[in-house]
Amino acid sequence: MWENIRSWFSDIRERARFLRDWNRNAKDTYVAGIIPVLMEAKITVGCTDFRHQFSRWMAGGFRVKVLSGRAMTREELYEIGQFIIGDDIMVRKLVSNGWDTLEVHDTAGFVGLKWQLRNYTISLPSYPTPPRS
Amino acid sequence: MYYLLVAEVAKKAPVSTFNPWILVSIAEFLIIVILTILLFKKNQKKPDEFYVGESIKGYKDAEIDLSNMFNSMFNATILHDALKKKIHPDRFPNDKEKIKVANELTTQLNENKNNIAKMKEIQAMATEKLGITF
Repeated sequence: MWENIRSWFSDIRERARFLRDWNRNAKDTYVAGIIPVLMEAKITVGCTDFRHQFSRWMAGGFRVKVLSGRAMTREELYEIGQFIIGDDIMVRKLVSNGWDTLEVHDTAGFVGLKWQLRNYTISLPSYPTPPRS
Repeated sequence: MYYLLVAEVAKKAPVSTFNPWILVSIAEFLIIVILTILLFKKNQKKPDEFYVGESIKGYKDAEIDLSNMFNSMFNATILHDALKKKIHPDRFPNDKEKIKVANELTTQLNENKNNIAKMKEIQAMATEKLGITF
């Protein structure tokens, strides 16, 4: 019981810190002129079909909102998402912090893309471990 | 008259010295002591035990270079395309040493095509070892 309360508060703090770091870095790089658009991440419900055993209840979605100024094409949104899920440590952190869905959308269009994060983590090999002799 | 009667009854009633709240406070104290013991006991390690949490502590605290990732999102493709053409091994047909270096750099480039910081390192190595100007 005691341990559960401690771990719950610890997880909440870790998620909030990760989100804060993300948003601060996005803002800094945008202000510095390194990237042309402002991005903001927030927690959403996520997709129930993408849930895994460590998903946070009703808070499994990691949504990236891109302030693009125009409707972005599917390819542009896909490219942003690919850069996030292409980073192995990033995906591991997202999954371990209870997120199961990555969502990318812009502020002007009507299209958003989502990825199931579990598919992009390195899991055990498909063959079983040989028995010990 | 009535007040006098009440005063007499109050004098005759037995005075209880036992306070039941003492039991409650003792129980609370015991719970606190047990929880404290459990908390400190968990941190004591036996010689042949180890905690996975400690071994992966460095990995857990590893900071992701988010600014590099954001930079890569929008600028990596341009640099990747430029590097891909410049360090292609076919550009050095007569120099075996440079072909070897170019092969190695191309492999690294393909592995890190989403990482602009790594690609800048590759660019610096290409300038140094292959004599390419960008």
